[in-house]
This record gives sequence, structure tokens and C-alpha cells, in this order.
Amino acid sequence: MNCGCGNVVEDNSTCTKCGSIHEDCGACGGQVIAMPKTMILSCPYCDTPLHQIDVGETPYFPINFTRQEIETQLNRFLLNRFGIPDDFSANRTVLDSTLAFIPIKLFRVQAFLNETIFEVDTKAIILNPTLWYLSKIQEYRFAVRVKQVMQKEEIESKVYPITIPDDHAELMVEPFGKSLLENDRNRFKEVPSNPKVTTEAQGNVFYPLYELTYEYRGKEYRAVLDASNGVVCFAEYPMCSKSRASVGITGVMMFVVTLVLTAVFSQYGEYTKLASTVVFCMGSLASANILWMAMRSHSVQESCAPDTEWDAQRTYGEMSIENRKVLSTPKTIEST
Amino acid sequence: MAFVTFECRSCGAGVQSPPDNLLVVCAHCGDRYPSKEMGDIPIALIPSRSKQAIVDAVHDRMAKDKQMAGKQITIESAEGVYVPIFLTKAHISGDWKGYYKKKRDNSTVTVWEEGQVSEQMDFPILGRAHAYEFGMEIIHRVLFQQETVDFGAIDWASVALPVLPVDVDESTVELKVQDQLINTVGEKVRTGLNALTKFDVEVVQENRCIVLFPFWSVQYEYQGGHYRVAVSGGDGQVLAAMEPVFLGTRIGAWMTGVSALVVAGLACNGIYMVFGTMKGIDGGDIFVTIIVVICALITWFTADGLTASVHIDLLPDEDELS
Repeated sequence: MNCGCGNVVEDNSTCTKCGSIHEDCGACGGQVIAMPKTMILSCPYCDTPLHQIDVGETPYFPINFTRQEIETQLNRFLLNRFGIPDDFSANRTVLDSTLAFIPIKLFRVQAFLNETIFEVDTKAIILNPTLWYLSKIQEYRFAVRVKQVMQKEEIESKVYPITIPDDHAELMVEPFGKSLLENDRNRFKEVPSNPKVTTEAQGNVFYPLYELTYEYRGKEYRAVLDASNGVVCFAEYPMCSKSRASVGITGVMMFVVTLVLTAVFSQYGEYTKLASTVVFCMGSLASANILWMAMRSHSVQESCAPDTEWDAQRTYGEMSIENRKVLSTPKTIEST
Repeated sequence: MAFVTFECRSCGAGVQSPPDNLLVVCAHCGDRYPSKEMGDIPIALIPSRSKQAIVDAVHDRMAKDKQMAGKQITIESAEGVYVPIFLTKAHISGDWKGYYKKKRDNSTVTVWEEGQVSEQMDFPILGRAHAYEFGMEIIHRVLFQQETVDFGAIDWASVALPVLPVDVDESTVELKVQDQLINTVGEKVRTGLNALTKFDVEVVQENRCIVLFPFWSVQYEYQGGHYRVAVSGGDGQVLAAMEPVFLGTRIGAWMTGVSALVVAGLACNGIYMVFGTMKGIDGGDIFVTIIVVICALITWFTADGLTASVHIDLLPDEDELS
């Protein structure tokens, strides 16, 4: 069998050149190649299970990006941030790039307003509260569906242990269920309801993230990237002094305008005290917010995939497709 | 990228499959590799235009844009994929009742309305729960304007693009159709009402198929920044475009903040005087308060406008266009 790297390998063996794992399916004879250090759970030809994970063992989700690729991803992502210095690419040095596996538990959550009206979604609970970036990735939608896993004995990275027990994780997912319920409550305010939230645990997985620290002009910045799909989960970045100064000046200008308008409104009109007070308070707060933007450190958080519910304005239509799968048991759900 | 790779049984080409697939389609000949969970679901496809046509569509879009016209952009990459979308023929029917309040002769009256819902439609659910690309969230706005081709009748070589594997199973699709269809129709019915007090509907899902939608992600560079444009490959419409934020836009944001301050002052001084003291008009205070709150929010978000990194322009919804 020829490996993708050009090397010749024997059946059911590992390529000595690139480390790819070559395997034949026992059921259909199909030949599959897995990336180094991974294990394929089912045959892509016939879906026959090839390997099984031990019961009680938490699988490791595969890594799809190398360190170099992930650094490029981060650089490209940051280059269109407001105020990023012109020499950012040239003077940025990655000090540390650690691959870390974090434990997560996946839940399918269904929030029923009544028998007919419900919301369904998935939620990942991070099972280790010691991550320094925990608050930054709480809402992150992890892309997990395990069909290929890392070989446990090949894991050389940092692994955060599971420190939150299952029953506690179930408690942690409850607020998410309640927020789903609240969405339907707002839509169907006075419809008779019998609220209920159900959660179904779908298993644990160790998920790979890159924890990066980079340096730019003597100052350190941190970032966390998804090692599976390359998404920047969280990143701190520098802002050049020219941009800070221009934002700062606009803040000062806003405050000057606020003072002028306050003076004008305190002189003219029937309700001078009310008008001038409102204008002064609003303008001062806005000026302070702008000045704070000019001074503070900057970071950005991304979400992997927003909820797949498309916006409601024009979600459906008609499409002419003749060949369709008739659902054998058309499901009818009636409300009472 | 780490994929499982295997040889296509029909054409012998290498097929790459990410670890989370339920249905994989060979990008060379269109042969399918479904998992047991997917069974034999039929597939239709919206043929994609060529890469050059997509790049031309982006250039046209930029040339017509008020801010980007005349600016020199460099196309860095244009990558197309077929995005799987479950299309379910569904029928929703039932009764609703609700009310709205209106003023009549210095008093507020409750007006009750009731009606029936009976609609049949194709309801789309994205077949990828986790793969997300910029612009993918508005595919449905152009989906129903496209012509499909039956999968068996495709000259695959002329339309070949990688096909994103499906990672949502049919049981999840069934739940999502019910959830989102009721939300969508419920929102429609609720328009103009203060509240719904009854929404008894039933949803019947009749048949299902997968439509492969050609989705292009184009990356361009402008003055060192990298920006993305999402294009519908079937008709070349630009779904969403990231653009740099120019100085004029930032000045505009600042001016808006200042204008909001002036409006708030005038509302407290002038409009309050008119509405607050005129006999027969209640709610002058509330009116002024609403204006002031809106103005306060506008001024507060001036800072965000000043420091925005990218401007995102989305294809308007068909309803908005009309």
C-alpha cells in the first residue's frame, strides 16, 4: 500500500516516514489511513466499528492543526483588529505554545414550555474550573462528535484533569436550560405552559486547545485557539499609540462638546435643570467610556458556531425536488 | 488537517473525512459513504459557478460599494464547499388566539383576535452543527431562489467541490424542525399582538432530503488587513462581506453620539414642554424617557463605533428588499 507521503507500507501498519496509521476493515476489506497518533472508531466504507474505547475512559478529540498553522491563524485573525500596529507581524514573537486537553461534558438540553413548544440545543460544561481562561470560553460551542480519537498512550500534551463530578455538571447545565425556556416564554407569553427542562448527558471528551503566549515590543499577550478547527477562542492584542491617542482625543472632544451643550441647555428653555443634568450625565459617561477604550488592554472572543437556528424572517420556502425520503413514521405531535 | 483518508470505491480518488462525519461524499465522483445513522437519504445539488465567476462577483460587489469603490484589493484565496442542508417538507396547522391593546376615548381597551394556521413548506436545517464560516448564517435567504439538480443526473466533474460531511443526525433534525418551525410561525402570528394566549398547533413532517448548497469563502487583503466575503455559488450573490472601517465611518459614529446628546437635551427641554403640558395627551413623561434612554444608549456605544475593527455588510432579507 502506498502512503500519502510516498512511502510504501505494509497492510495494518504504521508508516515509518510520516507516522500515518494504515488499517484494513475486517468486515469489508476497505483500506483506511488515520493521521499519526489517532485511532479510527468506525470504517468510513461500511460504518463497522474498528476500535472501541474502554467503558469509563474519556476519549481525546483529535488535533487538526499544527503549532505553525495555529500561529498563522492567530496572526491573520489579529491583523484586521482596530489599532493593530503596522509592524505587528514583524515584531511579534511566540514565547510559548502549549497544547492542552480540557475535559468537557456534553449535554443535549430540551426546554419544554408545554407539550408542543420546546427548544433543543447542546451545551458543553467544562469539567475543570482552574483554567485561567474559563470565563472566556464558557459560551464557546465545542465541535465534538467522536468518530476518531487520539491514542491515549500517545498523548504528550498538558491534560487538565476532571475535577467536577457528574452531578455537579448537571447542576451547572440547568441555567442554560432555563435560558432556553425563557426564549419561548418571551415568544409565547401567555400561552398555557407546563415548563420542564430535560438534560441528557452525551459523554465526556478531552478537547484540544492551544494556549499561546506571544510578545510584542516587550509586553506579553495571551491567546487560546481551538486545535481542532483553528478558531480563535480568545486573544489579547496590542493597540498602537497612534490609535490610542486618536481615540483619546475624540473622548476629550466629546467631553468638551458635553460641557458646551450643558451650558447651552442650562441657559435656554423651560426645563433647563433637567435638560442640562441629563446631557451632562450622558455626555460624561460616553466620554469616560471612550477614554477607557483608549487606555485599556484589548482582547477579542469568538464563538465557534452560533446556534444553527437561522433568523426567523425568511426561513422557509418551497423547492422543487422530486426524489425525497418519505418518513416512514410521520410524527404528529398534538398539544392538549 | 488531520483526516481519515481512504480510497473511493468508485473512482479510486483519495477521500478525506473529518472525525465527526455521518455522511461523506467523494469530491471527485460524488459517491457517498453514509454512516448507519444516515441510511439512504436522497441528495440534490445546486451546481456551483466557476471560481473565476465567484472572484468576479466579489470584484463587482466591491466596485459598487460606496466605501470600497476604487480601492485596490487583492484576492488571497477563494474556497468553495458544498454545505449540506436538510430540507424537510413539513405541515403546521392549528389555532391561535391573542390580543392587542389600543387607546380609545381616554381609555385602553383590549382587542381579541383569533385565527388558524395552515402552512406547508420546505424547512431547512443546516447539516453541520459545528462547522461555521463567516456568512453561512444567511444561506437560507437565497436558498429558495436556486435551482437544484438531482444527484444522480449531475455531471460531477463540472461542479466538483469538496462536500462538507453531515454531522447532524436525523433525530436531531426532526426535533430542530419542530422547535424552529413553531418559533418561526409563532413569531409571525404574534406580530402586532401584545400576547398570544393560545397556540395549539400540530407539526407533521412528511419527507426529507439533503440539498448541497455551493458556498464560497473569499479572502481579500486591503492595506495589510485580511477580510472575508461569503458568496452563494449557485447565483454568485454576495451573502456577506467584511470591510475595513474607514475614518469617515468613525467620524460618523462620533457625530451620531453628539447628535444623540443634543436630541436628549431637546427632548427634556422642548418636547417635554409640548407633550407634558398639553391637555388630553397622557404619556408625555414616558415618551421623553424613551427618547432619553435611546439617546443614552447611542452615546454610550459611540466608543464601540470609534474602535470597531470590521464593518459587516449582510445581504438584506427578501422581505426587507420588498
